[in-house]
Amino acid sequence: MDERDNDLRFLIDLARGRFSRRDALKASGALAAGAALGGGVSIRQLANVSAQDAEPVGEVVWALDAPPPNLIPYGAVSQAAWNGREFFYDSLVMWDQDLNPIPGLAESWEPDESGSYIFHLRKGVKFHNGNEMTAADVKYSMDMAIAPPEPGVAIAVLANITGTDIVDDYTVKINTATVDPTLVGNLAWGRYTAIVPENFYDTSNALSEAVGTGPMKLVEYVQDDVVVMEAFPDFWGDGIPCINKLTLKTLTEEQTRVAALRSGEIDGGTFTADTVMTLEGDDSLTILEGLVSIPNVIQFQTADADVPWRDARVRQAINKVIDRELIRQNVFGGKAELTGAIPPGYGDYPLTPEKLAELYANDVDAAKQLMIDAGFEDGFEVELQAIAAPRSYTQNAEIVSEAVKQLNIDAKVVPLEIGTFGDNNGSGAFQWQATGRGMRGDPSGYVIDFRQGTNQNVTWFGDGYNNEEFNTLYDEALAELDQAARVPMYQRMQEIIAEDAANLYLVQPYKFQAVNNRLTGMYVSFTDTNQGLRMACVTDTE
Amino acid sequence: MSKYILQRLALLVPTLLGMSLLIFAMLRLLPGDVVDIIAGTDGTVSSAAKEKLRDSMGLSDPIPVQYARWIGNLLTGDAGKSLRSGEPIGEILMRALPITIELAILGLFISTIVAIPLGVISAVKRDTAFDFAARIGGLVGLSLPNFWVATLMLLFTSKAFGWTPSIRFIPFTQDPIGNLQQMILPSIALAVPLMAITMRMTRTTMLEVLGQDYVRTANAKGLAPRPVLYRHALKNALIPVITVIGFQLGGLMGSAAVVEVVFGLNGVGNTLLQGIFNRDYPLVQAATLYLAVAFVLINLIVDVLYAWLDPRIKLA
Repeated sequence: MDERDNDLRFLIDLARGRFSRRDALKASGALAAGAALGGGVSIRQLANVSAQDAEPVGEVVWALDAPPPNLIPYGAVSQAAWNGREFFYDSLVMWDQDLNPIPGLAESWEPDESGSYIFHLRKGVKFHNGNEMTAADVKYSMDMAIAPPEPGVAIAVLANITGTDIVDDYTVKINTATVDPTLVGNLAWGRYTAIVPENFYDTSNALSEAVGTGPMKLVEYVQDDVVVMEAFPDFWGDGIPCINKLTLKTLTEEQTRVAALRSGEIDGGTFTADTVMTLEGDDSLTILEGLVSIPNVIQFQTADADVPWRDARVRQAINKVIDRELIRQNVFGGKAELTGAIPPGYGDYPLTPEKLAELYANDVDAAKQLMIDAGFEDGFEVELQAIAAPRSYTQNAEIVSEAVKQLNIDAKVVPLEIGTFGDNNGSGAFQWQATGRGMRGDPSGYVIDFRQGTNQNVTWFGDGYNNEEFNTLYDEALAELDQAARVPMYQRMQEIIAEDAANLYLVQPYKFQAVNNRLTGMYVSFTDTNQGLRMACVTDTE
Repeated sequence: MSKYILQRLALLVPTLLGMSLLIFAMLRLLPGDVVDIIAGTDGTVSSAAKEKLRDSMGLSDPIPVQYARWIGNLLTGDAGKSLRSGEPIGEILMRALPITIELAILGLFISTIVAIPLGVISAVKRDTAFDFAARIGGLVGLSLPNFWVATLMLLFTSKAFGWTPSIRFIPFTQDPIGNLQQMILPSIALAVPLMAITMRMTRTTMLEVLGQDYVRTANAKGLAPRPVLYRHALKNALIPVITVIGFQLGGLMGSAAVVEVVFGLNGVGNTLLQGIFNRDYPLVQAATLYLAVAFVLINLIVDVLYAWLDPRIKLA
């Protein structure tokens, strides 16, 4: 065993609480020497090292703020649904923390001449039921993913997949109707493309059972209460899982999560910026923060004829009076970034902060002139619906409502419970809405709604917004397999959206999680999931 | 008496029918449905796919058809399945019921054993410092919403003692001590407003009874103060108090929802609330009907108890 192996072993023991003071003193010298040679090892690397002789140890209880409605692997969209099942399943491809696609259950992949993709599967991968994963399982899974059994619903981003062919036991070909640069990203997102054993739906109750290849296997699922999991010893990944038991407990009240965290009943959870401030002085807790994909936006409904904001000049005028810095400071305490349609953190695709500052520059006089040019200098009345909880959406709306008074626009803020808000959003029953966008597997997902004729475009924009340059760029980017070449296209599309003020993107807030110090290796994932728990460890194992 | 009870039970039928109609209609008035919850509203799923799911869940059928189907199934003992997890509603409620019932009974017990002595002492020691303190305490207890009391309790014990009740329910049959440790705080939170009402009611009725002729007579014929107080005054003073407690108990089953949410207990109230948020119609309908039945039955028991305590009252 060389010195580096010793360092790694020490770090593993350190992370798992299996070290004594004497061990620490002995090893610290070796570590310091290693670090001096540039051989420092991060916790993340630690989680990825092979720990063949280390058993998973300790239990983690994590609080969810909404109950997972069920455990179905396919066709359940909500964030809560994904939070309940994310540790059971893997996809063919994964993302690293910077959203670069890396091998998952497929070791490698390449596009063929027709634009379809060949995936070479990892060998020796075991399902939780003990069976080995083969191409037949992948074909079954992909078939289920594109046409999910009810109550799953077909997911639009997988609509271009026409089927999956088995090439041999460890090779599959995923066929697409057209050349599809979004496929790898959507697989890496993993949310809709879990790999389950063949005939899973016939042999299991998919609503409340889970059989995957993930690091945790299901012990118990109680609706609206808990999901209990234990480490899967035959997990294909290296060095994980580190913890032996993981319980996801639904605690919808934030103050309950605060109390439970302080008393050690839970090891961590998600908190609002306001609450995190009250936890900052607690030495037993660590506050984690990070960007997640929730760009906040003011959305216009332009499908209705005769609404003043069908005129681009009206929307541009509104854009010029909204002070996004005020939103950043007053709503999020400075913990937010300017955002375009694609939020900062999403690889190379977002617009730079400088470009965004230029596009969002305030100019009240120019805004008033635009309103005069559009013939609306006397303003108008409008209803601005906002998501009631979390409060930040309503607060965004209040600031916007205040700002547009400068243009004689009377925007009445109406906070709505999420069910009502969502129903109005989906059916287009609104004038303006203060809302947020979620995570996407491919950048096209952030801008698709502005493409004339797409599903939500018809409901939200109708013939009230149409930009030919945008439409052309959108189509070209969807035919381009070279991801680097797609970057400037999506940046230009975002510029068009901001210049036309088709919707008004505001800011991208940071997400906060607080954890007990005993939990190490957790991080705020950009994908707005708790995937850090996959590689987290506990320093005491009681 | 038995005729009266049968009459009251018969009245349960139209009451529940009315309730079921109300619940059914009100739920459908809420915008959105479970398909929106499953499919999201972010454009990830096409409208056609959502409609297909609605059709197969029977949510596209006319409302009267849906209602008739639900009532028909209910009459055969089938309360349906959760639209989210597919779990039979009966199983969900049987899991949730013991939590809510225990919470309600403990809440009632705590409030009663504290409030009645306080009310009696307050009445006997009228206009003393104790009386003023109890009355002010009662007023405060009445004014505090129990979600606030519950949250403060949790935050206080976590900050002061680094302790909060277990977030997973411990059945009494498995670990009685653990169960009581877990349930004591939520029960107190639930008991506080009820305690205040009962205490004030006891005080008022005791004062009234203590001024009655028969109490004066009892005192005049030389009975010791204690027998007068307990045998003559208290028993009569308790009749309206029991009515109030009974009414409160029915409400307690509902207001337990708030306490259950704060303490992360998965009782009927919390289940009902999550059902509403997720538009899980069969679950909400069944849970609400259960609460309605509980309310009506508790009122019936109170009425019977009332007659037993005061033979002058004839039930007919």
